[in-house]
Amino acid sequence: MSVMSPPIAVTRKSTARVRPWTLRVKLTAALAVTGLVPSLLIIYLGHITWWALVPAVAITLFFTVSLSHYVMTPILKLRATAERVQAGDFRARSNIDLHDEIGDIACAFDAVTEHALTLINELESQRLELENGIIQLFTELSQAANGDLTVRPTTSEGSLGAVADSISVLLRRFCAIVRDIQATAREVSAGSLQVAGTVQRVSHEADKQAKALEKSAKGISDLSASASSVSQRTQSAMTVSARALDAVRSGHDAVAGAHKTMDAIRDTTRRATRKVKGLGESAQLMSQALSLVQRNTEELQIMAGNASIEAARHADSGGGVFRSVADGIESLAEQSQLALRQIQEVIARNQRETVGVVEAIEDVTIQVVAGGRAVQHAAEAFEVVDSVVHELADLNVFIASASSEQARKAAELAAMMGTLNGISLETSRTTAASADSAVRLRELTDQLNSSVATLKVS
Amino acid sequence: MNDSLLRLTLARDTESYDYMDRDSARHEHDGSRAEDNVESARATMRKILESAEYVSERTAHLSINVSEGIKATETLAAVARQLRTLSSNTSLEASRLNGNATVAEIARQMRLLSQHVTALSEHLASGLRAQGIALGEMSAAIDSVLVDAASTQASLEQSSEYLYSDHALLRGLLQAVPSAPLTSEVATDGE
Repeated sequence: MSVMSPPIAVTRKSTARVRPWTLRVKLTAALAVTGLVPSLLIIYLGHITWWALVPAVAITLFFTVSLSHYVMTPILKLRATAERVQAGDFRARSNIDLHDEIGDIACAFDAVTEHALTLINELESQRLELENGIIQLFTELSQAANGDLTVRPTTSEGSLGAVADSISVLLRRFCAIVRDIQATAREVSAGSLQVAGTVQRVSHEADKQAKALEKSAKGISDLSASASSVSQRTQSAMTVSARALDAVRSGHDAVAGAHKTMDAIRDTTRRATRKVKGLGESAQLMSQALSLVQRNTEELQIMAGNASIEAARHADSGGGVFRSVADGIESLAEQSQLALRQIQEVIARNQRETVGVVEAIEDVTIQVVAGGRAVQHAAEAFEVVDSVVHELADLNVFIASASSEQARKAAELAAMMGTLNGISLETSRTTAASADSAVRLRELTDQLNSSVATLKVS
Repeated sequence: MNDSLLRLTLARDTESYDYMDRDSARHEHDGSRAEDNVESARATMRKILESAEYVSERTAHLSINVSEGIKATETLAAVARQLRTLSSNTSLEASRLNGNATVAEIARQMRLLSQHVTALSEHLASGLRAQGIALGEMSAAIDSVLVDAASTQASLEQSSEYLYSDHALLRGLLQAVPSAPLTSEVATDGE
C-alpha cells in the first residue's frame, strides 16, 4: 500500500519559490571570486602579464563550475526528494551516498522520512481502526437513531471504547429519561384528561353557581322587599296586637266582674236558702198553732152541742138563751173552721211551694257553683290568652326589629350577591379557557406520548 | 360576614315566626277553651236565670198565699172577738137568770176559748207576717240574683264578644305577618 500522505506544509518566510539556479549562481560566483582573486593577486604581485589572465580565468571557471556541480548535484537531489516528500510521497528517498555533510544531511533526511512513513503508516492503521470502530458505532447507533434505545455499542479499548461507553451510559440515561417522559406523559395525559373533566365540571358548576347566585340574588332581593313589607305590616300588626290586648283585658275584666257577681249570687242564694229554711220552720210552728186552733174549734163545736143539749133540757123554762148561745157558738165554730181550713190550705200550698222553691234554689246553688267554676276557668283561660297575646305582642316587636335588620342585611347581601355573580361569571369564563387549555395540553401530551412511543426502551 | 349575619337574622326570624305560629296555635287553643268556658258559664247563667225566675214566681205565689193566710187569720181573730162578745152576752144572760151556773160556765168556757183563739190567731198572724217578710227578703234576694245573673250574662256576652274581637284581630294580625318568607329558598339557593 502506497503511502500517499497529504503534502506537508513547509513554513517559509516567503511564499515565492526559490529559483533552482540561485544557489548555484551564488556558489559559482563565490568560487569564481575565490579563484579569480588569487589569480589577480598573483598576476599583480608576480608582475605577470595580463595575457596570462585568460588561462587562469578559464581554469578557475572550470574548477568553479566543477566544484559547483559537485556540491549542487546532491543538494538538488535532496531538494527534489524533499519536494516529493512535501508532495506526500513519503517513500521517496534521496539515496545520496556521500560521506560528507551533505551525505549526512541526506541520510538524516531519509531517516526522518522513513520515520515519518512509519508514523504515517501507524497513523493510517490507527485511522483505519478508528474508522472501522466509528462505522461499527454508527451502525450500532443507527438502530438507536431508528428508535431502538435498547441497543448498546460494543465497547472496545481506546478512546472509541470510552466514547462507546459514554454513548452507552448516555443511552441508558436517555432510556431512563424516555421512560420517565413516557410515564410522565401518560400521567400528564391522564391528569390533563382529569383536569379537563374537572375543569369542565368546574365550569359547569360555575355556570350553575352563577345561575344559582343570580337566582339567590333575586331571592334575596325579594326577601329584602318581603322583609320590608313584613316590617311595615308588623308595625301595623303591633297596633292590632295592642287592640287585641285591650280586648283581652276588657274580656278578662268582664269575666272577673262576672266572677265577682257569681260570688254575690252565691251569697244571695245562700241567704235565700236560709230564708226558705226559715219559712219551713215558720210553717211548722204555724201548723202546731193551727192544730191548737183546730182543737179550740172542736171545743167550740162541743160547747155548741152542750148548749143545744141544755137548750133542749130547759126548753120549758128559758131554753131560748141556751139555743141562742148554741147557735152563736155553732156559727162561730163554722166560721172558725172555715178560716182554719183556709189557713191550712195556705200553709199546705206554702209548704209545697217552699219545697219547689227549695229545690229550685238548690238547683240555682248547684248551677252557681258550676257557673262559678266555669267563670273561674274562663278567667284562667283569659289569663292564658292574655299572656299569649302579650307574647305575640312581644314577638311582633321583635319581628318588627328583626325584619328591619333582615331587610338591611338582605340589601347588603343582594349587593354582595351581585358581586359574587360577576366573579362567578368571570370564573366560568376562566374555567372554560382552562378547559380549552387542558384539552390542548392533553393533545400535546398525546403527541409527546406518541413521539416517545416510537422509542424502544425495553 | 354579612351572609352569616343574615343567616343568623333569618334563623332568628324563622324562630320568631315559629314562636309566633306556636303562640298563635296556643292562642287559638286557649281562646277556644276560653270561649268554651264562657259559653259554659253563659249556659249555666241561663239555667240560673231560669231557676231564679222560677223561684221568683214561686215566691210571688207564696206571698199571695201568705196574704190569704193573713186574711184567714184576721177572720179567725174576728171569730174570737165575736166569741168573746157572745161570752159576755152569755154571762149577762146568766146574771139575768139569777146566776144560772150552766150558762155562766158556758160563758166562761166561751171566754176562755175566745182568749185561746185570739192568742193563736195572733200567733198565726205574726208567723204569717214573718213569712211575708222572709218572702219579701227572699224575693229581693232573688231579684238581686236575677239582676246579678243578668249582669253576669251581659258580662259573659261582652267577654265573648271581646274574645271574638280578639280572635278576629289576631287572625288579621297573622294574615298581616306572613310566616318566614323566602327563608328556605335562600337557604337552598345561596349554597
